[in-house]
Amino acid sequence: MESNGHAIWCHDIQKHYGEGETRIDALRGVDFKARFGELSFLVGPSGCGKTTLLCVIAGLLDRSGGDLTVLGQNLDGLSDGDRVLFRRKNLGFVFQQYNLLPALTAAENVAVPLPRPRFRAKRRWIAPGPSCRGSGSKDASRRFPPSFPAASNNASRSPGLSFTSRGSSYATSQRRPWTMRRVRP
Amino acid sequence: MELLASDAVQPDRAVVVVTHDSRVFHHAQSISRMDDGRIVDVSRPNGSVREDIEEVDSFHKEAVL
Repeated sequence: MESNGHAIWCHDIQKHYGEGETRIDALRGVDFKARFGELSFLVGPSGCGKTTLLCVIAGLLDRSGGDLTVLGQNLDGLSDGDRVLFRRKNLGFVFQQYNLLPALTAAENVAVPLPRPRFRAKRRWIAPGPSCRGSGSKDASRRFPPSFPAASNNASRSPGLSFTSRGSSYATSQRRPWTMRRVRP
Repeated sequence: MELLASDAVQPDRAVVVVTHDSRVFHHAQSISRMDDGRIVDVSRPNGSVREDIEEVDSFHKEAVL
């Protein structure tokens, strides 16, 4: 299979908006791969399609053409509901403008997407992991959003967003998803 | 960024970062440059050459054409 060894495998991805004279081609045949265990960067001038590509990969936008496999899964075969579950279980976004809920602490913000039936509200934020602590700070997990740095750390003022994906092995193993392991009940 | 980089080094994970900030490029195993809706260049700044690079480059050439 072409996607072997790749967390993300894209071939000839097309995405356009509108039709006729108003048609805008945001992606014009993108081939992109991201290997497991690697940090891959997407760079380029504003408006070149980076964020569109990321949203297509994550299933947030439907593509107009091309082939896409994410964690060995062709998302085309999934219903809308299953696609949402796949995203929740396997994919994560870290936006530069991080859209955190100001009334919640860092750890509580991390715990927001956890399935409620399995985690009582009081217990969802008890043991935050290193992602909540930020770089260089002792423990930012109980601080509120305005007082802790951007997720990527404050040395990076890049305008984009980062996108993390976790392996398909979670789908078939008994291991809990990454977020849940870091916010233990 | 250090946190993302350390998280990416797992056999069942991958991290993709969209950025304009060249100061963090040294963290990347792979840098794909986009322009006008296409990937126009793929580089591996840490010198970690993989066997699929030629394949990626052929994709790149097609994209540039």
